[in-house]
Amino acid sequence: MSDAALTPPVEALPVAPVAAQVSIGQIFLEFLIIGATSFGGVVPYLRGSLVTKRHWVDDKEFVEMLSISQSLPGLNATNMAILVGEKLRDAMGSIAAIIGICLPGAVLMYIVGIFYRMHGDHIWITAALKGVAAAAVGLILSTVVSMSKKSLSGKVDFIFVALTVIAVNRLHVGVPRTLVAVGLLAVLFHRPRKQQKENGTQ
Amino acid sequence: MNQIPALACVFAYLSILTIGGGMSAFPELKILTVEVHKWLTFSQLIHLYSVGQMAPGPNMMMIVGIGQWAGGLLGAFVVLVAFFGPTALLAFIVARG
Repeated sequence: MSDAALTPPVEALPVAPVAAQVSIGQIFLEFLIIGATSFGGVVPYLRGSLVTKRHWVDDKEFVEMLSISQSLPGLNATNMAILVGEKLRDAMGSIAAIIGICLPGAVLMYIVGIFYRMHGDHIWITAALKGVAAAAVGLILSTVVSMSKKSLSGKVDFIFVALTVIAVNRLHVGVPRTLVAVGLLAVLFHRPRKQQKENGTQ
Repeated sequence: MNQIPALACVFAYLSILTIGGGMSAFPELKILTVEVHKWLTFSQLIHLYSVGQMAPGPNMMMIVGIGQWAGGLLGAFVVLVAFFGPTALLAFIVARG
């Protein structure tokens, strides 16, 4: 009677008796498949696999986990693996999920690293890499554009962007110091005045 | 010759810089791996990064290549654990809490 109130055994889970017991092997295999097939961004693959195919998390949980992943340091892919793994099978689930999602890409890049070291100066490879580098710049640029659309709220924000670029690229101030300084300025500027602005960290 | 401790420190530090995605750590990644430790040249870093973008899975896997160059198989492994370990632990604590 005393400590029963402290431990909610099944916290309001409207769906998913399915999620009751998923084996560590299943978790590892599912994340291994995601890790091996998710070209160009992991999130759609995670949703397709975890929500649509396996029903391990429902759509609302998925969105919540994703926003937690985005506000924490670390890559979305690995943070999602940890959160979903933890939900399914606690620590062992997390470990299985993160190893699964990292393994294919890591092995691939290990081989690429060796190959590039041996043959990187070959004329055809140099030419191909030039093209690939151009494509990567394009990808980064598209990330910049979509991030700006989401997070820049006014003209003043561009000043903070410019300040950061100048500090890191021209003045060679360290990134952490720049982030703290510019971050503080931005927080001061965006402090709640007339309208309340909600902030989703923590 | 033994770059393993340096690899561990650099990538554990980069790990906590990846707020809002792996790209956030890129400027420091460049300074530390190219200018400070000289594990590779800037154009090699760009090439590895570009190829890494085409690989499946989490998009900073190119760091494995850097680890492999600087410290062989052990280097690659150390880089992986150092880069993904701290944030993974943090995410796990948040998930528990």
